[in-house]
Amino acid sequence: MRTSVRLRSAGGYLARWAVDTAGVLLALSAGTFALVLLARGDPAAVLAATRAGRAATPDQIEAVRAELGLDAPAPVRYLRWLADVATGDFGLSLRTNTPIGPEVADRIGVTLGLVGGSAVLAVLLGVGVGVAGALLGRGLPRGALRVGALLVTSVPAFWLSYLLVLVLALRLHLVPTSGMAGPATWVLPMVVLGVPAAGALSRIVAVTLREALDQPYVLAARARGSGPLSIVFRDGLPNAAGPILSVAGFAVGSMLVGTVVVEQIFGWPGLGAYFVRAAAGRDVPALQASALVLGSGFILANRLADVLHALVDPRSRRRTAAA
Amino acid sequence: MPRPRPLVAALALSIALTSACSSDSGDATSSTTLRIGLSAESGALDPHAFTGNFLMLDALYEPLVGYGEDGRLEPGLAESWTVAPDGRQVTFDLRDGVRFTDGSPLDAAAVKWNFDRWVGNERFSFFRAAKVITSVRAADPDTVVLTLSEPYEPLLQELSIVRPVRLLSPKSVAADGTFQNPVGTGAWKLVSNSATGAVLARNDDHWGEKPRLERLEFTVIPDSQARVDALTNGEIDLIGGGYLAPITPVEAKSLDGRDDVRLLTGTPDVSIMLGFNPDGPAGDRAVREAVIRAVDTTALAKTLLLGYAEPARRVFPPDVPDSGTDLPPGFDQAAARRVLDTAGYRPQGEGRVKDGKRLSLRLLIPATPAEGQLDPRTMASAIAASLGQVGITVEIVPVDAAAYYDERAEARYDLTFFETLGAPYDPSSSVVSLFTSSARAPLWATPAVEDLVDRALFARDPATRAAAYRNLYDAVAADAGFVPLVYRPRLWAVRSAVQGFSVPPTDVDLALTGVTVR
Repeated sequence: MRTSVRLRSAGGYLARWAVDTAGVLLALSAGTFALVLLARGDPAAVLAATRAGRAATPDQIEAVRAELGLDAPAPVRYLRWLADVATGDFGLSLRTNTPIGPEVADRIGVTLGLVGGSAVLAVLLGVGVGVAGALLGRGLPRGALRVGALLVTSVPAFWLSYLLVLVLALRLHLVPTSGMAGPATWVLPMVVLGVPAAGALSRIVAVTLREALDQPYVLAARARGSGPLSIVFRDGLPNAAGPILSVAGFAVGSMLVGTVVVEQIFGWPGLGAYFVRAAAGRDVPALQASALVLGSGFILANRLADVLHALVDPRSRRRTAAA
Repeated sequence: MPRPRPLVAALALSIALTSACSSDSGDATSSTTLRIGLSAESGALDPHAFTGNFLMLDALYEPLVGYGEDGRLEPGLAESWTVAPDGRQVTFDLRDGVRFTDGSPLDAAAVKWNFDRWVGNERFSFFRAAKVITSVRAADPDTVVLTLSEPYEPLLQELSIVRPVRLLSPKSVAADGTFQNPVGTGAWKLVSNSATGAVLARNDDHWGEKPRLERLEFTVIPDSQARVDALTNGEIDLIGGGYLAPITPVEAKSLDGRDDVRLLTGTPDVSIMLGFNPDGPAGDRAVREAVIRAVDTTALAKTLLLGYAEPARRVFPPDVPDSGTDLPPGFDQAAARRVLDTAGYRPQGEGRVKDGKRLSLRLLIPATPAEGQLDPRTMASAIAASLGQVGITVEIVPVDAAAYYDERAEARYDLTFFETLGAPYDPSSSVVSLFTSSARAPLWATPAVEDLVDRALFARDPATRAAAYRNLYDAVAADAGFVPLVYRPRLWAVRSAVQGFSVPPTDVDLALTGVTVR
């Protein structure tokens, strides 16, 4: 009887979660469309100029506008676009005149691979450092860890990239400066994306774990004679898992967005670099598609973290319901 | 409890990963492969479309007429050509025994098939040759005859450009004529092409002098500083050029003087100019003249472009055919003040006022530099400072790079930058886009100037044409219609191991025939 109530409430939570997520994604799609619309820079003019090899004449531009269906009112164009996207049709790239769907699909694997690798690095490093921070007593080492974590979370990715290229590639010749060919080339982009996330993660692990370790059940465990590692991994971390998952979700989402900078600098053929190129060339359909996919990834990473948080920690479910 | 140290851990991890899979690139004493940096993926390599990297297209496909040093036209796939006395017919004698890399012959039928893809096609209306040619006839397998609606002197030069005139194998397309595989007659053939780069292999059946290299590996590195790093680290051998992997003056400075890298500068083929909008304060000739007098272009070249550019004195750099003669040096701030005083702009405070109105000009610039180019903000601030010294207030208006060309086309500026198109398009294509009102954003277009453009384009013989271009430049200069700023530097860099490379005649081709890598 009680189990079924709990399941039903979990089911209700999931349904609400799904509706909310769909709403946010829809808002994202409208926002993406509107922002591109508001941005100056006429895609028809850009495409006409690309075709002409230089600035195009007004009638060439009008011809392109009609060809692309850009002469329809914006809401009509949004609905058309949304209907196409829902069926997986992202339209043709203005730059290459090829379907965008396959271009995005080709690149998403690269980006997910990069984010996945960075996430593993971030979790190993972040949890490790966080646990150390929680176990250390007040003092210089703990302070140093905190400052270090703050430092790596606040450095801009491009700056960290160049610094690491300078030291690891140009000085020490340990890794290539750029490109994606073989494991060695993964090191720099993974570090640039993963280390700041590890910094953020280490802070939340340290704080929540320390809180958890002050709880009476830990005292009880200690009294039973459990060792410190067993206490951390058996009693502390599971109870601190909720907030950690939330931060991890945000970190993964941020890494996804961070690929925009990192892929550009390291010459990775992923979705981030694709987005940059589409933006620079006002390749509007490609820009909308990549922004939508990257944005959805960011939102989904956060929403998934929330749902996992709710599943491991029913208290948060109740809090959400009450709110 | 051991204390984990994140940075040390990261370093250790990277060392572990590197040693686990050490790559042994760049250790060989000599190589038959040249590794080239590429700023963006090259896309579909269709010579009749508007995508595809220029240099890659140039390596794969050949024109009937080639563009050599100093704009000299050279035989390409046509061994020779004759222009009929009335200028309305051009007959090409094709080189014998040339084959596309798929084995099909390059004959008159193949040339006609290629020309039919763009002649008279509205998509190519920017290209005057596409409008002027009225028919393409394969007289016999070795002879192609073009008939023109009117004599058009720049035709042969236009036929030396990359797209859409380069020749694609008619056998390489799909049944409905759509492009499939890049098959040309060039010195190279395509092995692979992806988002990360491309590989070309030497075409051993090429009719011309064979390259000594066997392979070209292009690697896409979008970030300009990252390309310089990859070059100095020995991961690639060659960067540079406007369309391949541009180098900024600051990066050039960092490369200059290194033992392992040679920085090469080519004769400039593009000039950067400051243009005026005549509907506004710059409609007053005195204002334009004062601006011309106020800007110290020598200082711009020296300080902003770090000496890699020369101050400009004409519409086109001197090596462009029919570029006319140098204008007298313009910089004289005392003269600028005199001109403004005489025209009634009285000094007031930091600026000047006429009829109760402050003399203030909007300088429109793109907010971010074009790929590999000088930051327009620094150039704009320098110009604003110069004009401020003679009492002209300048408001710098930076707009998003993609929006910039729209704002310029809508004339939402008093001052803004213009560039010529560069070889092999100059001077004919550039004068159309700079000096005719039908262009989207002309530099200076008055009825008198437009008339002179037509005379230059349709001149019957070289002497008349040279005179017509001179008249055009004189007319624009007489209107004080623009400020020549600098000739854009052409920068290339190779690793010292690369021998025999010199800066190509234009930035759309890559001369690699004699190049070797030690």
